[in-house]
Amino acid sequence: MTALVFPIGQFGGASAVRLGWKVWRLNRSRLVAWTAAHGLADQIGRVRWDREAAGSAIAAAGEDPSTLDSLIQDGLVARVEDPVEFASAHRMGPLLHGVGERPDGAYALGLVDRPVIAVGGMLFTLWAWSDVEPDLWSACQSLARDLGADPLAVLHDALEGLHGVLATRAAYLDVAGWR
Amino acid sequence: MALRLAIGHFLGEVEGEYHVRLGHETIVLANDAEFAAWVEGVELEPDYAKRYRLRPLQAVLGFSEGRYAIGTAAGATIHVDEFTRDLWWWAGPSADLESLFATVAAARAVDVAQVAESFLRHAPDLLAAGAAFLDRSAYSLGSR
Repeated sequence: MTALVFPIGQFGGASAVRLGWKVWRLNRSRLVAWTAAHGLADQIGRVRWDREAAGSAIAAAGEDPSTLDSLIQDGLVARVEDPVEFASAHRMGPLLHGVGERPDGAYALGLVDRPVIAVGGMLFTLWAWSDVEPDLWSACQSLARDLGADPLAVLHDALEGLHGVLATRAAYLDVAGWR
Repeated sequence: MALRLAIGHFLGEVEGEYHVRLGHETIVLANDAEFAAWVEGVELEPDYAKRYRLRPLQAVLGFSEGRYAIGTAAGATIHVDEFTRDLWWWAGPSADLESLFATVAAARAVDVAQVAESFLRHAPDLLAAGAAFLDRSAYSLGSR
């Protein structure tokens, strides 16, 4: 299976991305590539967001897909070769409030009365508690303990669902360990 | 009158109850009256900057005429100046308000007191727009 790619950092406007305590100013090409790494909201659950998918989105925006490589080198995009290593080095921050449980059992995220995306119970729990976990791997281990589940299986499901919350800006990823 | 602000991350409504995450705890608000009381907030203590941290919500959508639009895919919920954007942006890696104020003060070459004053002026609008929330800092965080 091909490696997923994820954007790291929080956009601050004016082509700037904050990565931990460092601010990166991105030119148009790099900003397009970083944005493309989030995934496309209309392709959530249908397209596995790997380098090829992100590269296609970058090319569709008129930029060079190889720009992604420079972002990977700078830590602004992560290519997940080793899931535990990736999850130990990064943390998730929620960017929306919860709205509530839907009749189908999914959980809506958004603003009060304005849902943006619905996610499954496992991803919702990870999302909701991510702010008090030092990194994504710790969050998966905590949830696995609560569920009596295999932490690697929780991490696998988390990574497969993560682009949904990233593409809709319901969460962002940052480097771990800066506290 | 002292400023009152809501503390905690609203997780939504489940079976008629409202859930709020506060540090490692979930607070359950059983009815609309309890929800309204939570929204009204608590009076900030003198050591509030040590007790709480600000968490940014939503995303920067654009910048024009000196103001940053913050919002969701549905559109902007608030427009803020660069000073307030800095408070919002640097809240991410800041362990508490005290360190956030120090970071922004250093970045903008102003007094920490000026940053704190700006926070107290703008925080109610950020929270009301759903563009941020306050959480317990490590100083007052319970264990899970």
